Amino acid sequence: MKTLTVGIAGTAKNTGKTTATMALLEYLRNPGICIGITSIGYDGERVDNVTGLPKPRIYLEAGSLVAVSEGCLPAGSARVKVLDRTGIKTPLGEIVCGQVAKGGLMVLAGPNQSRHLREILQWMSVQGADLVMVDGALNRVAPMAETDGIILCTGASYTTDLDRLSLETHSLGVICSLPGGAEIPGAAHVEGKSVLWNRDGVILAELPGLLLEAGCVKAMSCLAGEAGGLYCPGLVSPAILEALAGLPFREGMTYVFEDPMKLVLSGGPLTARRFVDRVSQREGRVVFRKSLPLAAVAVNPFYPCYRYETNHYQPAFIDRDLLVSKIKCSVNVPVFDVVRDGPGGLAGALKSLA
Amino acid sequence: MVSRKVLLAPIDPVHDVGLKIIKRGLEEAGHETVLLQPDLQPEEIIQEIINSRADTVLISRTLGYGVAEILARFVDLADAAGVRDRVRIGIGGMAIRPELAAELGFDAGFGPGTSVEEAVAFVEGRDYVPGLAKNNKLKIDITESYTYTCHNSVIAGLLKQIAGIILAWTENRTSSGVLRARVREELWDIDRWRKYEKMTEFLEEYPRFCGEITRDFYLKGILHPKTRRFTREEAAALEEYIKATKERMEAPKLQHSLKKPLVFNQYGTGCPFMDTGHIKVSEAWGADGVIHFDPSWGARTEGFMDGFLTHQEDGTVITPANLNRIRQSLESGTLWQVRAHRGLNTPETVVLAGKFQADLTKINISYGALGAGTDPARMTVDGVEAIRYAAKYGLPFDIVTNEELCGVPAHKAFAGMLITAALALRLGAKPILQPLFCYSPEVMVGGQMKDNYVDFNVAKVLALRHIIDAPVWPGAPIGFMTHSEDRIQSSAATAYHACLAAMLGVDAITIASSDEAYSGGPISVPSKVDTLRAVGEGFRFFGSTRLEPSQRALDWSREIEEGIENVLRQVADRGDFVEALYRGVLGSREEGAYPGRNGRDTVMMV
Repeated sequence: MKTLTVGIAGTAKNTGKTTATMALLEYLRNPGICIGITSIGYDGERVDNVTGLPKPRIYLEAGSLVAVSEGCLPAGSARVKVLDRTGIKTPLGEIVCGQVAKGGLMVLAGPNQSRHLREILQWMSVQGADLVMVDGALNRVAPMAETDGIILCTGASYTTDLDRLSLETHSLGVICSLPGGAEIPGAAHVEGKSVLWNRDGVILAELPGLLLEAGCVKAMSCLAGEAGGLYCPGLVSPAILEALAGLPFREGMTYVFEDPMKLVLSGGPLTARRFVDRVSQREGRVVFRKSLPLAAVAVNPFYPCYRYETNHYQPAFIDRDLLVSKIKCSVNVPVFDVVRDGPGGLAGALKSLA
Repeated sequence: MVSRKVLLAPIDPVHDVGLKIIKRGLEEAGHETVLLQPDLQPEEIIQEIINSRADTVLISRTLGYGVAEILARFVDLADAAGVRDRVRIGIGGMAIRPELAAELGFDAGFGPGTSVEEAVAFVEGRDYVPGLAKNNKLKIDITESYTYTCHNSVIAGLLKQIAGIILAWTENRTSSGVLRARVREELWDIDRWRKYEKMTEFLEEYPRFCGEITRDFYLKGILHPKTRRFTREEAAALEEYIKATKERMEAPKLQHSLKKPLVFNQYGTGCPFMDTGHIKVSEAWGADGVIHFDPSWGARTEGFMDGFLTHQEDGTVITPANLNRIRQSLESGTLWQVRAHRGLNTPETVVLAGKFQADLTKINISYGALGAGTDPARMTVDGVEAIRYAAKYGLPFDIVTNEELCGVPAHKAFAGMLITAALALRLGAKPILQPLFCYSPEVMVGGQMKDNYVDFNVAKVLALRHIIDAPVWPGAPIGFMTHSEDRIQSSAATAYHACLAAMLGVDAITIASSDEAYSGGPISVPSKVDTLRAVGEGFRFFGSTRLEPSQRALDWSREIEEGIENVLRQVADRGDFVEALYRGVLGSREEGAYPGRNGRDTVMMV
């Protein structure tokens, strides 16, 4: 059976990534299911590294597979039998892969780069993991492209402006729903380069892999009338993304990006969605080499409120019901408040990724 | 070494000084650097990384809420841009720790106190090994460079005369303290004790010279009512704690550019486990040495118990097992002083200190007899014997003058100190002069510190230096009586006194924790850290700045020296040091010094 990998991505710190991860771990506890877990950040600590507020702890059952920095092993009560050393170095030591021999609390700091996460997911797959969960870090999304799909955690910690929150969540939903598996003309497979081609698949121009400087727009501008497709393997700056949408490409232009996260990183969800809308208005389409479906959204009304007069943070909450209803209206995937609704719905949503 | 290309990028509106310092260090190490301007957008920095073909990037940023997301986005961009495959990225700034660096997605994190060498090691892809100064302190013998030449010939003559009087007086006298020390010296073998071998001869002889409490311990197995033995679990936990702490211990240096004064911190919570915690904190925050404080009842009790014992009140009981455990907890470069300056166990304490390889002890006959409650005759007999053992074990000792705190004027206390020093030199020991750096009753009444705390303390040190070429170690602790229940005030007061001591070029200082005077119980670790940090900061501020004594300090210095000479003459004229103590020549009842009564009539003729 193929290993299913799911990323628990967030829009900010304290949006409920670890709570969602723990809820899923708890719900899926079953001797017949082999669970693997790692984190691209630092999770399971007692108090937040920035706010000093309490954080949810991570409890791992015996038998779980885990990939974690060696420096984390003594920090929890779980006992891990190390099966492999990876040679991947982090600020907390080398990443080791192993199996939980005695269940207990665990601090998780795993691979924080995409290529390293790829290695770890491969290891877990070889070990026979049925489901691997990748706990996120802050607002980091890039490594999540290595998973089969994501659960998005968002809420008041990102912003207490519910209109903005729903708009951004909607934008992420739109981008993640765009198709993957896009093919590019054979001749466009140039390592690390962006490529512009015509409707016959003939290469018109090779450009830098990262479209960050204004010069590349000028180069494309001259060829816009002939172009039929553009592939960018890397990032696009927000300004270039705006400029691309304004170039006089013909109708039906295809834009191929590596994965949704690269597009999201190119200026944020709103800029990316605006780009998608403008392309659509001209009968064009935005597609990805690799898709990253959004399975569900988990919302969290909690946020750390900073008190200037005492220079510390205190827990605060926005209206839970209003938050859920707003976000439900903005996306076409299930939305849960895990603390109130329990983990069942969220676990069920994973089926959409299988 | 492969030369690296390093891009230094402040993701910060203003601050880039840390990166500039690291830039210089990297260039000195042979690496190429590019320092970007502050406040660039993450995308711009990514482009610079690509354009410059850097192989290492060092980012700096002061952290606050919301900033973590900016940094995480930068890391995400680097990841998505593919530069993480070939570029290592470190983050530095206030509040950055390895855990946070891991959470943000960086390869390394550098917080406050990071050395340039740490950053260079990261750039060169090697493990950082802290330098010698950071974790390999070497012990220093502060008596080493002194000749003990007496520059004042009159005082030299008087001291010689008085030392002779004392030695003649003690020649045919002894005490249970002296006899007990001899039994400990001759019949108690530390190697056999460590192997749990029963020393029958010692156990038969020793209780004969003990008081009721210690005799009950040896003959009936009864412990002192305020003590209990540690359990096996507690002892194992202590061993585990010491092991874990030693593994990550770094012992920084407080003195900045100076070699001295060495900084000593006291411990003596009553619980050797807690003491060990305090010692490890002192070491980790830069103390050069630690001083064992025993309970006040220990000075009134004839003999020592044994066993790993904790005490429910202040002062840590001296037993071989307690000293052994504490000795084992020390870092190799930490100086250890076991004080023996007073009380009925003075000579035996020196024997134990010697057998457990302490570095220093503390003896003063005058203070022991006047300010600490031991009968002058007994203190003199025991003090001379203690000095002999200090000489035998090569233990330098300071001569504390805390009788000043009772109200004895400095010149009288110093006369007593110099008498003990003269005895030490006659017997082959190495004395260290310990004037009080404090707001004593003498100056409170006399007004010498009405304007400042500097001049009179300077006068004391100048007077001693003018008399003899000997090491000076102000204490104990410095700033005594200037401290309050306000920890910031107390730390600052200690730091000012420490800086004054440093400017005078003294050899060592003893400092108190900031809550020592007002703790209402055991002192706390944060307060220990407060004081050590404040002292270190003071040393950093003044560096090797020297102090020019004021005319008033010079005048008082001369007055103190004349006063010392006058007191010594009175003692010499009396021809009987012990009688001089009883009669108040070295500190009178009116001044607040009462001859001690513990051990009265216990001196025996031989």
